[in-house]
Amino acid sequence: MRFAFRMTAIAAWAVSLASTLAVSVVWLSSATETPSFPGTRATGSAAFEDITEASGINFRYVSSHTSKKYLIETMGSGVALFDYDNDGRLDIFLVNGAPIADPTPKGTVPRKDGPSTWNRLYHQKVDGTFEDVTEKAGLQGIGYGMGVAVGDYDNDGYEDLFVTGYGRNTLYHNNGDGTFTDVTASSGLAGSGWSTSAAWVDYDNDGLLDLVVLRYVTWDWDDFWCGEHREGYRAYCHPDLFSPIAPMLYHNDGNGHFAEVTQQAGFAKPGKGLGVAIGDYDKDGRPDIVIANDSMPEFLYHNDGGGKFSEVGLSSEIALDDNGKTYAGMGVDFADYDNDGWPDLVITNLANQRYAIYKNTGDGSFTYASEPTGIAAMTVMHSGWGVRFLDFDNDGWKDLLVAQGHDLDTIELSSPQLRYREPLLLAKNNNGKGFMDVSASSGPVFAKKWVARGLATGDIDNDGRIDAVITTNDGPAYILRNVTRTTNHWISLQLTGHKSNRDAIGAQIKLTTKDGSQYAMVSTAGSYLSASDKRVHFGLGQNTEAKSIEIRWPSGNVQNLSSVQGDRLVKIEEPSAAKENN
Amino acid sequence: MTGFPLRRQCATLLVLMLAVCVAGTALRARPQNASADDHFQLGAQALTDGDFGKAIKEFDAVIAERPAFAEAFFNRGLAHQELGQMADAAADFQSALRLKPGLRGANLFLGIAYYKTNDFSRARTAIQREIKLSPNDAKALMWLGIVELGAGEPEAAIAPLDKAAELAPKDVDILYHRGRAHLTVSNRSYQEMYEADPKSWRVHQVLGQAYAESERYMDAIAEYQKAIEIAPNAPSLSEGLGDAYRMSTQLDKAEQAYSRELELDPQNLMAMYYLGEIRVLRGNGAEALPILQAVLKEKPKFADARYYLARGLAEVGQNAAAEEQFKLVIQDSPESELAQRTYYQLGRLYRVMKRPQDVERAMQEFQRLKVAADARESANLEQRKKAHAERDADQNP
Repeated sequence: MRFAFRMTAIAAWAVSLASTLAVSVVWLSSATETPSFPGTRATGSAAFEDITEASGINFRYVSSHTSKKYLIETMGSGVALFDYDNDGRLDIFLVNGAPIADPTPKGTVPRKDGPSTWNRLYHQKVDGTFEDVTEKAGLQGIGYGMGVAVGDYDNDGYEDLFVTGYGRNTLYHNNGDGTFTDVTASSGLAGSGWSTSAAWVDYDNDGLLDLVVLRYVTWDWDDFWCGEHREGYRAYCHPDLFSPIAPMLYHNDGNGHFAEVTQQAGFAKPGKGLGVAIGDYDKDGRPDIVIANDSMPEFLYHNDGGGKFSEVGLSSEIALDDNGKTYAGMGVDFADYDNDGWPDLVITNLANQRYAIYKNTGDGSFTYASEPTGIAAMTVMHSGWGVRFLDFDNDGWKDLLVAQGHDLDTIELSSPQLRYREPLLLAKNNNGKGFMDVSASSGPVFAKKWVARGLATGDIDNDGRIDAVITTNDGPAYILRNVTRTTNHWISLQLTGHKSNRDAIGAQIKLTTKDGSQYAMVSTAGSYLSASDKRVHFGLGQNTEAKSIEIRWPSGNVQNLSSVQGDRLVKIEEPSAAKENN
Repeated sequence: MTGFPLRRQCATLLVLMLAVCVAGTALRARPQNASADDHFQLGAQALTDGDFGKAIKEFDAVIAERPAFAEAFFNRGLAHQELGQMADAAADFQSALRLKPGLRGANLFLGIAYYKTNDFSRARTAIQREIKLSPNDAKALMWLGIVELGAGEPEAAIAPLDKAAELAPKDVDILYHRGRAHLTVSNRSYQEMYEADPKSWRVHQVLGQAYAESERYMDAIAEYQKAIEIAPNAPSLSEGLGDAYRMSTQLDKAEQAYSRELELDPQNLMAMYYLGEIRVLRGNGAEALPILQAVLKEKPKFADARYYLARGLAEVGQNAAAEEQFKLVIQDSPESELAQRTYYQLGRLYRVMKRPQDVERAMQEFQRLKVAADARESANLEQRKKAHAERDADQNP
């Protein structure tokens, strides 16, 4: 009954809109087409539930532990939530490792040796379960994988995949027929060294997605014994033992080839990059890039225009904590948690360091806000990796979901109060004033202890509640369905660029309801090694509609919509005119 | 078990030092008998070389020729002691002392010989005689402490070991035994406290301290809470609770705990300081200022308090005053880690004050100190890497 009513209502609204307004909002769809996952049901006050088993996904990340405790073994892997076949349902791509010899000679680039270490693509079927289509898609992979980035680099309407790894990265072109082609060689994106997170971003707003690829450290199977020198106590080495290395910035030439422009763009500062996110922190219309570095200052690359960047982490006050100290930056997300119009930052790190929240002051700098927001107190004993701002209860305020677990599997020997396996953290946003740890009351999944690493978010079942996928080190990937019981409303926006890049990555959205405005930027980047749903989700609270939506496209076009009904996915095409008001 | 090799090491060191010293003295004092001199020299050399059997034979020959030569008995005693022949050693030291009651070291080694046969009473008496002869002999004081520890009298060990540490503040053996004595006394005291009243709030307080020291802050908090439930008006408990909350960055609760502590003990400077620091960290600089100012009135050299005072002043917009305080922090210790952090805060302050050139200068100083600190850290890491490599090479030749 509910389903039928909504479809009717949406159709009526769409007809009305299309016939009365000569606008670029061309297509609307219901967000309730996908039925619930079989065998699952919301229970109690749970916010999320683990539906991995019912989903049909049976993935296990192979890190290949050795007696040498190679650092790469503990870093985990990424996940992408994206719709590769444009059927309106999110699919899942999971990155896997490869066998490592014990010991491994220097210069080795590990290779996958069979299905147990393949990367996997899972296609979501109409009934909400998933089928493994890896072989058909040709996405098994080659080497020891790390992260994944999603973007339609050739604007053909199909999302492409960039997979990072140790020794070599891979660009897969989506052929649009359920298959992908490895175009790494012709694209010039193979890279080198130990790559981690990557992000697609049109940094010069030329309508073509460019690519940022982080690298972690200069490392070559170094055999250092770290930790106590006795059996069972050998630990993964601290990154301080290894030299930093510059990230790679690639400019999309538009012909399938990318030019490496790291040096000339001013992007060559050596770091120990693990997480990357994009956001226009100074609202100058150009996307900026933040890099979470491990145990050294964090970087904020200000986009100066003209293909140039300046690293302003220190002067913008995001490089360090409030005491001027570095920490082990790992995951990062860039979003406006306090709805003041200025994107803020969260950077996860290790236990005893406190995850860093940086509130954007609007004058080009940030204020470290971990203490006053309550994030410090709730995270001091935890180690965070993947992190996303998401409005899990659709109240109009972006909350935080964090994948947690220490990097040292020996941590409990040296620090008995800490844990290698940790539960997830769900922190509810208290109207922009701070956050409250609601994990304990958010369902049994938050009592499970994992060595969590990657995290991607998106509305997997298109029910208007943001779901998540978590990867774990040497463990399964978990599909978490958002089952939050709420009467709040929502809206999801899927933007398609024409003059801008087709994914509309970098488009800035201001959504206003009776309660105020919210802001977001289209991006698939953020978190740790992972890529999230490009659709932009807003909770509307008790409002059934958005009074207005303003979209600033990367091309410079500004588009305004008014009285947009909620509880649905709205597909929006970039207008051809420079400015269009609806 | 771990104490014995160390003790032996100390004794060996002393033996060698004294042997050379005593031998030198003897040779100067008794040059008239060439044969005895030769044997004495050979004995002293054998003692130095660790050939204790030969040393005994040589000193036997000296004593046969000169039975009133105290140093020969003393040195033979040292050789016996090294061979673990404690009864023979004690007899020789006693003979030496009969011949020469003021012979330096003889009472000490007699005491050590008694100690090694678990005769703590006579060991104590002998070493006390040595200390009477040489009141500033740190090693004799250390051995008196060791004897008292062996006798199960750790309280009596503390005074001589404290004095020894005062005389030789970098002697790791003395520091080790001093620490052992204090630890034993404190453990015994806690044990007696527990036996006297297992439900006492003091028991929870001690547990709270122990948990906090091992960074188990949640457990520490629970123990302090139990203590406070029993003795809500006992000072220092809320401070301990505040410390545990602070270390686990539950700053709101830490603030409450320190406030309570100050209700009970308004003069508690550390509670005042931490309350001020927390209020600054929580963005409540206005309420932090009077507290931190009061702390600094009592302790003007408290650099951390001044750092947070400056941050509090910056928070409430008293930028000029904040700048002045930050500069004082740097002035006191210009190359320190605190100075590094202070330059960072100064840079932030200058940005607010719209003084870009000063921002640049402050951040440059911050960077300079950070680079220096990083270089030191890198050097340490290189040393560690080298040590790792050497250790691995040793273990896997």
